[in-house]
Amino acid sequence: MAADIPGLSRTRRDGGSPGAGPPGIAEIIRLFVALKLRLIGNSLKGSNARLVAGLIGAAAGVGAIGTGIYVTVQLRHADAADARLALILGGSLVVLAWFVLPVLIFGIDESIDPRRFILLPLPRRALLAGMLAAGFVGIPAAATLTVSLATLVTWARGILPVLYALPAAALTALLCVVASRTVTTALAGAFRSRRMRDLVSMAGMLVVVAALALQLSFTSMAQLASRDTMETIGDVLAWTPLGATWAAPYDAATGSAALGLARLLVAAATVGAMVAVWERTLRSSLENGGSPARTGRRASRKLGDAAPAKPAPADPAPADPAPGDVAPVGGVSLTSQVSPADQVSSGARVPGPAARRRLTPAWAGIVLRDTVTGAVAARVLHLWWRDPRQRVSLLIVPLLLFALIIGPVAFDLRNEALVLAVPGVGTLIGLLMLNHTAFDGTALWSHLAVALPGQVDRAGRALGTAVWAIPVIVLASIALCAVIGRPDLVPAAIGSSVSTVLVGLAFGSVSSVVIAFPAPPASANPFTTPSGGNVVVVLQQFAGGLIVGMLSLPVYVVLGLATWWRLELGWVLLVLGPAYGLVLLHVGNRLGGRYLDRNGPELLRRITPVRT
Amino acid sequence: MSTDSPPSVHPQGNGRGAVSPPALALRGLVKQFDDTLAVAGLSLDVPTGSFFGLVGPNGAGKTTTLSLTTGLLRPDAGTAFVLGHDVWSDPVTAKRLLGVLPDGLALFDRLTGAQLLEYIGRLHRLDRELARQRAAELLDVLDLTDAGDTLVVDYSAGMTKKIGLACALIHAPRILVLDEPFESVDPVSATTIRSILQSFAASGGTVVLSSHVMALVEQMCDHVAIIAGGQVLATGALDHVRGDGSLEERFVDLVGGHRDLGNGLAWLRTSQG
Repeated sequence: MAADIPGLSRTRRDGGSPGAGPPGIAEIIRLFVALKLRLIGNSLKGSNARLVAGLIGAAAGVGAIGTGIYVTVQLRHADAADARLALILGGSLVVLAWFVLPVLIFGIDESIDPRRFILLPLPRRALLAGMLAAGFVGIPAAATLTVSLATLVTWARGILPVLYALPAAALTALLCVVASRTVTTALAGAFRSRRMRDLVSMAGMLVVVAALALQLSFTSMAQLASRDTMETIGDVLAWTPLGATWAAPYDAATGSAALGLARLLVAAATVGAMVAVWERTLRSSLENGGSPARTGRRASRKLGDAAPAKPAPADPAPADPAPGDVAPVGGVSLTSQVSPADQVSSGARVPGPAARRRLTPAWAGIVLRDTVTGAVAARVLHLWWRDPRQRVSLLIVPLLLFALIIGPVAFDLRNEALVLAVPGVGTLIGLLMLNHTAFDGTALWSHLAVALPGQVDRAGRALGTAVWAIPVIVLASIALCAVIGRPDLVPAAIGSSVSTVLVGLAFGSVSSVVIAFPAPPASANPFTTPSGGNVVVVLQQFAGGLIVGMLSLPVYVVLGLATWWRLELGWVLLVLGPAYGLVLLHVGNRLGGRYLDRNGPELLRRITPVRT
Repeated sequence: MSTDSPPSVHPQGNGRGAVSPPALALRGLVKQFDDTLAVAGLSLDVPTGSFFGLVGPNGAGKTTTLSLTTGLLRPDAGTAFVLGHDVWSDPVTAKRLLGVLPDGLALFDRLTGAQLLEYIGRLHRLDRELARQRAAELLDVLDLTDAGDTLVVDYSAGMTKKIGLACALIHAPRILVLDEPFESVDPVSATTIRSILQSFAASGGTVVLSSHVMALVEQMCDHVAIIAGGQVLATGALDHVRGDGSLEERFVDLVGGHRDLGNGLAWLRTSQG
């Protein structure tokens, strides 16, 4: 009997709360909803900034609800077909957002993270119900539910449409919440790997850039969108889970009740399928003990790191070897180290690919000499590829240049004004460095701890960027001049674009310490800005851009003169442009370096992201 | 300082006379964050060649004190001297003597382990080849060789601690300042680290470490300071501070806050009869 085992018997005998058996589903739901409300409440506490942000968010939510309800109610007076189209298109967007946003805004709502409940004796079904109920708590869910319920008014054109609109609204809200929960749970495992987070972070940033680009071509898109195409899109959406619930009442209103029922079934089947998927992923997540998926490949597999990083309560398959496996290795190398006599002979074996062992890449070794500045530059050069925030920028630059060079060929546009675009890209590269110091985050302490002179720090950063940016921009200048058939403009193009890169770097040397603000962590979601994302920062960045533009203005002017007036000025630009840039860079390094020397510790604190 | 000796187990300056200044001398350090006084006029001497343990409850100001001492955080008042050099007015000289392992600050983690060590070595003006050689040795000793070409961001917490220690050692400092060096380090690595530190201290180097594992401090250190509320409650040789009892008893005694359970939590006891 269990009574023989003291650990088991005590709960039964004591008559305390643990003996009451597992709580029922209703109780769990009540607890989860209360927990979610408490979490929302607590998230507003602590600082005024958070309270204000929370209130703004709430106001925006209430505004959205009000607008949504108003529009939906107004549709009652519209033609049924118009109302249908508007509801399908708008509604599909809403549902789509519920699917997609958890991907982009990962980590934003981990409040009810199933892994936190691993150790509690909860049946999975109850956990599921509780999480679903908690998912309905919050402004987005409330907004979706109320607006979809407002369609009852839209379709108050008979009993049958209303009878359809009610379950349709309920299904919509349910689908949305289940979708976001399912996506979150399914992705939670994937996002525990750094590579995946890096990837999504980059994808998110590219989405932002793409959205900006789309905005430019928006007018042409709007012209394409005729009523017919909208109808076609709507008809398709009406059979997908995105639009089915929004379309069903119209079918009922126009006499094809069976059709509407079929659409409702589509939505219901989707909800059922998603709950099944959710249940499966939840189970696998819970059965993996919530321990991170070991996607870090080589890391900590055979490395004598026997202690797990954090207490994983139920790690079924520890990837680390038992301490006994590695003890001999550690012991041997230890003894060879501790006796001071044979230290030099002991180590110094260099296995593995040399490229990942050496700081300076071989191709950059010609420029980056064996100096401290060279070391800083080599690290910055690595960052451009290894830091997802910077890799995006690095990928955008060649894309831009490529478009610049291919575009004219494709459209047979041989306008010499295009020559102004290459220095423009040079300015952009410089602008990417505006807040560069903050990308190091707290790791900047290493520079403080060795009392690295500020000027060396600054120069290293500029050099590490210039080492790829200058060759790229020079090649682009030559290619562009070839494409537009003006090889005589090559000196002007090279001189001006090298100059703008240097001017940008010069300003970055100053701005990235003087107006530094916390950058989002490398693997973070680009849509959440840490503490620094306020109006002041935006203004500072804007002002920074203006100053870079003004400092580069002479370069552009001379380039214009060379292009349209005196070609000889190109040669002047080839010499004086880079010289001007170098002078500014030197001044920038001086100023930024001095600031860094004086305010190093304060800067370190300033760029440390505030924990929330 | 000379750069031709292998990593850091060999600090220079064995033959310092009795007149030499203490390894670390903290004088009236004050640091306030918003409305909490983290360090409240703290003064402390760390004798050269000592193995010094800084102990204190959570929030005692250990990390802040070490940050103020190593030049990572500017004190509101007071200063710190490293072998007589003021960290805040003569930072270059003072910081060259220090090897620092902070707690809770990131490393340049988008470099591989080997690259990070070479980088830190070269920041200390080591020649490129020497930096590489020492990096390889340190990776070997700390059992990180296989992780040498893995990005530090992918390291586990224990590995990160070890690579951080390697960074602190690579320029063969005179004084090591380590904040919680054994946290999340497995027992095997902890033994390695201890041997490294002990041989470092044995050859004349000074080690300052913070910890709240009393047994560890008692085992390793010859001098301790008990810190609470941003002030030093007791300092001196280990035997002097702990007196007749254990360090833990003395610590709890000084810091207070221990509650006798009495009849509390009675329900937790397995009542057999």
